[in-house]
Amino acid sequence: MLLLIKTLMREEWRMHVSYSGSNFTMFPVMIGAAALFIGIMSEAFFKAADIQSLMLLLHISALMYGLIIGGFAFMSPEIAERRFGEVRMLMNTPDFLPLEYRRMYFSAYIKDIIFYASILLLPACIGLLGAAMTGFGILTVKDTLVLTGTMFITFNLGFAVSFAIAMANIRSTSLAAAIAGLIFTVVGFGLFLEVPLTYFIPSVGLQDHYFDPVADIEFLAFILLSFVYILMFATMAIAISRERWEAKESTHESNLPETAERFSFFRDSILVAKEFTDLARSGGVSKIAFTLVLPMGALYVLDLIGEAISVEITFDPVFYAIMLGFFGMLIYYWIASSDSLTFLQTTPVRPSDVIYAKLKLHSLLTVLVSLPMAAGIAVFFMDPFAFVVAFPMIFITSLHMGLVLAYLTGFRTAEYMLEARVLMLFVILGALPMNIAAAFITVLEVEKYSTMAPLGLIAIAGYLVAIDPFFFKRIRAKWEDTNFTS
Amino acid sequence: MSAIVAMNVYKKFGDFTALNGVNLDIQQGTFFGFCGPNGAGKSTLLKILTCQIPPSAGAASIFGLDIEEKPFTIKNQIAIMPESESPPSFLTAEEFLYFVAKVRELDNIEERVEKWLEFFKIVEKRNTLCKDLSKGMRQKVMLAATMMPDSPLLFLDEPFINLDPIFQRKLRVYLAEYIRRGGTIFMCTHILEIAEKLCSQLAIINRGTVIASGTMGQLRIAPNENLEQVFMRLVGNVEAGYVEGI
Repeated sequence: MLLLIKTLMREEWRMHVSYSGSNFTMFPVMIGAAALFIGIMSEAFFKAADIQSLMLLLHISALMYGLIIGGFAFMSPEIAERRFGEVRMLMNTPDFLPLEYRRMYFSAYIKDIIFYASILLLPACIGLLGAAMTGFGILTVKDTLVLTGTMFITFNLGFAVSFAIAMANIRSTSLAAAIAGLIFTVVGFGLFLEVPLTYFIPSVGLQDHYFDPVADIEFLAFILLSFVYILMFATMAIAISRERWEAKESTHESNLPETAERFSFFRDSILVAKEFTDLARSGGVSKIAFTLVLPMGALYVLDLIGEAISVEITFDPVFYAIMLGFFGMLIYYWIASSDSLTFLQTTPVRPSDVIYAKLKLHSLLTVLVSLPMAAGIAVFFMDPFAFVVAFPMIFITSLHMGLVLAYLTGFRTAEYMLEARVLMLFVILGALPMNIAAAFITVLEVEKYSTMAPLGLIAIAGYLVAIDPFFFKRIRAKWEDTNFTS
Repeated sequence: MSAIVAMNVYKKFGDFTALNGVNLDIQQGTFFGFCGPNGAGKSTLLKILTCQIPPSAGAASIFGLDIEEKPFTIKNQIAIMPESESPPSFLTAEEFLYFVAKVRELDNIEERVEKWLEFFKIVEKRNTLCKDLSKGMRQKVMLAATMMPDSPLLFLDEPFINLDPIFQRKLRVYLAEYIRRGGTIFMCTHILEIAEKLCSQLAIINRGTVIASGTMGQLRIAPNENLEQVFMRLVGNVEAGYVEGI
């Protein structure tokens, strides 16, 4: 088992390094530096916001990290194989070696916990410890260890839930949806009925007790409950994992010509049609729906959590719209990850033509997704006017995020997103304008008649509209000399 | 007229030299067989000549067009059968052929697609996603996509490797007929028997260097020597454990 974990770890490391070279090693360094800065500035942070809200947000982030990384980690071999065609991952060796799939999945689970905690939580812990040991900020070494330790437990909880859902998905998509739905319903209703959050995320209770210590027995109970949950989901995952199955032969009506005809308003309709067909047949449509509904649901749960523990977290339609637009980048992600492009190397097709085709499909889907999402927001806030505000907001932000991703990562989005330089540019070009817009909305919450906030929001929207054509034009020059195979 | 010219082509991957000053001049109408042991540099040269990767040094041209200056014009004039059979996972076999025909801007698309589906007997699997086809069927789909444009120059990397004997023979007959019609073929292969039967010109590469080239008659040192014996003599039969007469 240890050999398997070590070999899987080596494979994971080499996969990331082969995507982005030694730049990948800069990712944890960047996280460590950011944590050091946060540690040094911790006094200012604790003055600006109450400690409970900050700790809660950190734990929610760790939970989301576990949930998202867990899902992606178990899809990465599939993505790598599809993207590179000739790449074969260790995960598939039980097909021809005397190895049980269960053993392989469990080893991969342990490997992913170690790997993903090492590239994010560990450097964050080291950065914060650096600040604590040099006497900057107000966090002590003990504070830091308790904070990162409890966040590691929260991350594990998210990861175990994701692992269980991913394993169920190998057996059947309906089973995975049923498990996810059940968890979501139990947590949602529980919080709605004011069941304490610590019953669902016990590590938050551990955190709370450290900052406000009570009886030791309660502290121990939270530790025990954390491990019971993690063990329960991990065991469930292994129990429902599938040992063998027969591949089904999928047939489809050959309707690419008709699909191309439907996209005939594009000059490169055949490339757009191919992208659409790939996305539809690879289950991309449900992935897009899931990745957009999930953040919306998470924001709703966060709102409920805020109410449950009396922490002020307010949302409005524009905030929701921006957040959904931000997650609209996932549409591009799925389009870019749907299949290997190796075969295009032998055809007279330019790499930039393929990126433009993906982008065109992203824009079309953005319009289609924005409409129901804006309608959902209007229903959620019971305000028809919210639709008028939300629709252009979702559309503009999603379009912008897709363009930034296409410009920065081309058709290798999954590979380049963990490269430090790309990630930094993504934060500056993509995430920063969204954050500034969200800050203006917060100003509006406090000062209803502020003139600065609406002007700021208009300026951001204007900036996005002005900068996007630049990205669009630069894609050809940036990706012209790239290769479909390497 | 030369179809393919390579002048002192080098390719390095880090410290490893994959091609070490390769020179070739292949005339139109030639069936050129490029043989060599694993890792000798066959596929690397094919990728350079088909504009998939650039050379580290040297120059090459296809029909007089420089591979570095006119890659897309060249890709429009040639057809390539890559080493690994990797048609797109989520298109059906028929859709893949349609897609290739569209991006190559061919005429009579439906007729061509039908012809090649029928030629390789893929008709029954026309609506099966490429990812669910067997290895041999995927190879046939890739071959169909390569033959469909009827390009004047074909680059084939191990075209026979996953085919059953029936289709190996069918392909051999087709390729011989294609050469008779004036086409040119550059083929990398390990199957020396087929190379000997089909190719009018041969070259043997070892460790990035072309160690012999010419017609079968020029490569022989004894009247009955076959290509396998030539190959073993040139590349080294001691390491391979070659036994005379097997």
